[in-house]
Amino acid sequence: MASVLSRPNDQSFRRPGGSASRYSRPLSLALIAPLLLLLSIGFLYPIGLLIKLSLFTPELDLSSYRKIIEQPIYLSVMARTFKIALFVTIASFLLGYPVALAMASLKRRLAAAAAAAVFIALWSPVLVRSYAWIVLLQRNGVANNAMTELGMVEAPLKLIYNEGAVIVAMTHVLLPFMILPIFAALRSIPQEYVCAARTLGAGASTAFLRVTLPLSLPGVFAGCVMCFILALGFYITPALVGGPGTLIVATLIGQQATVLLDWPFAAALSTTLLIATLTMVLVFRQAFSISKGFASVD
Amino acid sequence: MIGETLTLQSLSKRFGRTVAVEDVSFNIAPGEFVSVLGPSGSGKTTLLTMIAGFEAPSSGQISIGGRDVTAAAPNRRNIGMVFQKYALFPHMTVHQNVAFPLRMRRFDRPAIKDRVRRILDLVQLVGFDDRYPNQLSGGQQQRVAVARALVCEPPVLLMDEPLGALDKNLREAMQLEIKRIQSKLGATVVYVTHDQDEAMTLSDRVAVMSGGTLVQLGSPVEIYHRPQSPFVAQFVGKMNFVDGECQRDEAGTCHIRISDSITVAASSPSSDGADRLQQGQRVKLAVRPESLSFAQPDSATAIPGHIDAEIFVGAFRLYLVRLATIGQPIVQIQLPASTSVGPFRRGESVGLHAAKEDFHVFAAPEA
Repeated sequence: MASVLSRPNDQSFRRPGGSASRYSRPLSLALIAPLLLLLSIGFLYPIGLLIKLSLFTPELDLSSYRKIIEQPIYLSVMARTFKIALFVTIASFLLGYPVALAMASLKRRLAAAAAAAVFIALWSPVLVRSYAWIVLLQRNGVANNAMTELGMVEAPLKLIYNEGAVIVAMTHVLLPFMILPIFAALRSIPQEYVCAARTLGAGASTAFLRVTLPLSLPGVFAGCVMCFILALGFYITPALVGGPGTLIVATLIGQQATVLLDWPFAAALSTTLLIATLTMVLVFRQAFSISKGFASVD
Repeated sequence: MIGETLTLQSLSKRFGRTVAVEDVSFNIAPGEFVSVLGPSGSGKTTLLTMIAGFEAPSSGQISIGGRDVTAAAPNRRNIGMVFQKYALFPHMTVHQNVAFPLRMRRFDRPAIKDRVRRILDLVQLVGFDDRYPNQLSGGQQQRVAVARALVCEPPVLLMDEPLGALDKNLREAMQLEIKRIQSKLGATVVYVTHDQDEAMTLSDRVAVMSGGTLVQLGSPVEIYHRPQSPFVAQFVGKMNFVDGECQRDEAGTCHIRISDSITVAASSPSSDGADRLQQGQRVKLAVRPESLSFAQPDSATAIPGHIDAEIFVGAFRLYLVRLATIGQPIVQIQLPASTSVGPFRRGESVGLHAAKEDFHVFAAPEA
C-alpha cells in the first residue's frame, strides 16, 4: 500500500513550457512572425537609431551623456521622474487594491458593472481626463469654489501646476492598469482557500493577510510594474497639469527634440530612461521572486 | 477521545425561493462516523457549509458538544474540514500548511514543531515538510489536507467528498486510511459523499438525503436491508421494482398481487408501511437482485418470466428476466459465479423465488 500511496501523480507535476509545446516549433514561429516583424521595424530599428544618434555625431561622442551627469538640472529631472512614478504607483496600489478586492467579491452582475466603470475610465482619452483635472483644480475651479464657499479657505489655493496635481492626475489615469491585473489575480483564487483558512482558525482579516494577499501578489507585481513604467514615460498629463517646477524626463525629451532640436541629447536622455526603466523592472522582479513558486494557482 | 456531540435541530436553508435544505435534524454521538449520502443537488454540501459556518441557516440550530454555534464565525467553531479539492495553500510548504491552524491558535514554536511531526507521522508523510502542494501526488495532498484539519484535534471533522479527485485504487486505500486515523483520534466525523460504497465502507451511520430533506438515517445494514422509501431502496445498492396491488386476507395480512394469477406474501420488517396499506392500494414491490433465485416455473410460489440475458461479471453472474406480470418489467438476478444453474437459452421460461422477508413493499406514489 505504501508504494501505491507514495507514487507521484504525473498530472500534478507541471511540464516546463507546457502551453507552447502544444504547437510545433515552425508553427509557433509562423504565428509570432508578423508581430516580430512589426516590432523589429517599428520598435527595435528606431531604438537602434536612437542609441546610435546619442553616441555618434558622427564620431563616437559621449558629450550628451556627460551633459546629463554633469549638469545637476538633468539629474534632478531624472530623480523627480522616478519619485513621481513611485508615488503614483504607491497611490494606485493603495486605491486600486480595495477596488479590485470589491470587484472580485461582488456577485456576477455587480462585478460586471464595476468592471465596466473601470474600463470606461480606461477607454476615455487621457487628454480629456487631464483637462478634467484642470477644470477641477484650477484657481476658479470646482474644488477651490467649493472650499471658499464653505469657508474652509479664505483665498483660492494653488492646487494645480505642481507636483501634487501631477501625482493625483496620473494616479487617476493609471488606476485601471493597477486594478485589472490585481482583479484577475484575485478572481483566480478559489473561495475554498479562504474558507479553509477560516475553519483552521483564522479570522476574516487574518485569512486575507495570510492567504488572499500573498496569492494575489503576482497580480500586484504586474500592476505595479505596468503603472511604474507607464508613469516613467508619461507625457500629456504632466505637461498639462504640471508647472515649471515639475519638469519630468518625457517633457524634457519633447522639449529637446521639438523645440531645441538637440537630437543627440534627446536620444541620450531617452536611452538613459530606457536603461533605467529596464533596471527597475529587473529589480522589481527580483524583489517579488517569492511569487514564482505558486505563479500557477489552480 | 476528542470527539464531541454534533446536534442539528430542524435546520433549513433557502436561497430566494429555492429550498436547499429543509428541516434536517439529527444527533451525532462523540466519535461517531456519519456519512451524508445523496445525489448532487440533494442539499448535502449546503448542509456541510452550514455546519462549517460559511452559510447561515435560514432557521434551525447547530450545536457542538452542547454549545450553540449557529451564529458563531467559522473560526470560532473549532471544526476541522477537508475540502473536495483539498484547498491546500499553494504558497505554503507542507509544514506551513499543517502548522497554520496551530499558529492561528498561538501555539509556541516547539509545540508547533512537535504536533506537526506527530500528525505527519500519523498520515505517513514524514520527510515531506518542505515540499509545496504542487510537488505532491493527489493522494499525498489529500493526506496533508487531513493532517491539517486534524492537527488541532478538533472535536468535529467535516469532509466534503475528500476522495472524489482520486482514482479508484487510491480511493479505496485512502478510505481505509481515513478510517484508521479517525478511529485512532476518535473525532466525530461528518462525511459528505455521493458514492454509496464509500458511505457504506466508512460509516457507523448513513444519512441519506434527497431534495433537501433527510430521507433516512441508519446504520449501513439498516439502510441496505430496511430502506424506508423507494428512493433509498434504489439509491443504495441495486433494487428491482415490480408494480402490484395490496390484497388483504381474512386475518388482515397484506399480500401483493402482481398479476392476475400471482400473489406474493411479503413480510419484510422494513416495509413499515405494509400494515397501513389499504385493500386494493397500488404498491411497489422491491427485491434485491441477490435475494432472488431460480425456482421451477410451475411451482406455486414462483414468479414466472423469461430469460432476457445472462451476463458474467466476474464475482457473480447477472441474469435479466422479463416477468410475466403487470407491465412486464425486467428484473435482475444476481447469483454467485460458481452457481450451477443454467446456461439458459434466451426466452427460456423460468420461475423466480425470494424469501418473503426479502420483499419490500412501498405505497406507489399517487399518479
